[in-house]
Amino acid sequence: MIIFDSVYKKYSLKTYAVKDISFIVEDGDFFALLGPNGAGKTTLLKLLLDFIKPTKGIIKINGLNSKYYKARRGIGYLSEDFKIPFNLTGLEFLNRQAELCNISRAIAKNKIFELLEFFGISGIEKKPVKTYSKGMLKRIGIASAFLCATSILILDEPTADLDALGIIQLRKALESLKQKITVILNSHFLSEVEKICTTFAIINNGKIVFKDKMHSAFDKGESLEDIFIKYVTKNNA
Amino acid sequence: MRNYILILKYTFVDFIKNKSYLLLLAFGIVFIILTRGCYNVNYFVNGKILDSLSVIKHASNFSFHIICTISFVLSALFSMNIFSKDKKDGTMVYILSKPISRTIYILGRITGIWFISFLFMFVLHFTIFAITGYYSNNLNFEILLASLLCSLNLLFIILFVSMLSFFIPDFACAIIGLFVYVLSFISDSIFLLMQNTFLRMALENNLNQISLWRIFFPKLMCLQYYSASIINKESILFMANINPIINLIVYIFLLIILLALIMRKQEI
Repeated sequence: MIIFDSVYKKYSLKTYAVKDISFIVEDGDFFALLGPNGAGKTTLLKLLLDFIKPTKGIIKINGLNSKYYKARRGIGYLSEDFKIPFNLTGLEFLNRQAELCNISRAIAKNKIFELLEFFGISGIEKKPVKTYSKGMLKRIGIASAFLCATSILILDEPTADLDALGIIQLRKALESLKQKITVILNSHFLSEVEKICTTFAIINNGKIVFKDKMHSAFDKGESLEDIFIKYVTKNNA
Repeated sequence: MRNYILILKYTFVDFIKNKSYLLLLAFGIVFIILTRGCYNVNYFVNGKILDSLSVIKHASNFSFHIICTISFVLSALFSMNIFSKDKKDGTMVYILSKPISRTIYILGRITGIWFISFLFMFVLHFTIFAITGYYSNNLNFEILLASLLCSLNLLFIILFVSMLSFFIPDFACAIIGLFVYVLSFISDSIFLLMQNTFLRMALENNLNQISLWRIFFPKLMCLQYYSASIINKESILFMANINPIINLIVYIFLLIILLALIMRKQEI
């Protein structure tokens, strides 16, 4: 379970990146974080991973305060601007990820092979990263996040740079994790989010403006796009 | 501990893969081997021929100091961008998104660079050790011990430069690090020179009165002189009787604490 309790992040005297954020992501939830550019979605994910410190408030991951490094156990993460050091090959990078996540060599070897096959990137893994296209790099990033995610998977804009096939593969991979782990997805692709996620929150100007279960929203006869436009434009007005 | 060793291993492996590092090391070894003739030449001082052991002693002493200085400069260059590069190429994100503390990450990175720098210096000192052993028919293991001691200098500069790199541009950090070394060279060399009675008498003033900053300044050059004195089986005087090893260990501990505190507040 992930808890955000009255979290604030202030960058200057008057500028808040996020303000009074409180919400809970239940175990096994597929949680979508939606919002326009600069709304504070990536900041929330960085706060969750302790990449940046909250000015006020507490964030808990499975009962542990996120400021403790042990809270990041079992988390797989794909950053918005995913990069791999150029001196590595894709396979070396994935092996390092597995080692850092404490996955045994034999298990890692099989898992990496499966992930490379699944995301259609087997065959390139021994080539240096500098020869990869943006899409290939993103797939390696997604594979590395899946490799380490045993309890929580955090994907920040995973569909950016992916082609249609890549998006379908990602959706299928996520569907296979349903009820097994918690997923937090930050995406602009509302149609994909609608298909995959069970819960969603809309963030605008650093504040959560709407949060609901996906099916409850649909029961009211509204599409995700309608809700998104309604809450984002309302708060911008 | 496991994560610390992993980060250290990655740092070491990534550096060793770097061809320019290996080329530089190979060039250093070849250069030292090419200078082996200096250990076996007849030198005349005041019309008298210098005995071969004195020649070997002075030649190895000179090479020892040159290698220490070059390794010091290289350590400053190696460490000036470890963290800024990690931030740029995504290394920091892929390591710290795992259950790894920032202190472990810092320590792994620093010791990795230290190993790399020390390996460079030690291999070159070992070459000197082999050459002097060959010409004097006596293995002077003190050269290796002295090299080990001088590795403290490398650790100091790595910590100092990488700490500065959080605040100022990379190259400026290396320059400031080298400035500290030059200042230490001036201060410690003057102190040692002033131990000469004739020089003290000639200058006829109290130049041997030591100001406080010189006593507490990082004793980089003093440690180098001390290490060389071990090779030559001589003894040297320390400023205010403070051993340079203690001086540097205190600095190293302070820098580690400072670096850990800075890293804790860093935004990734």
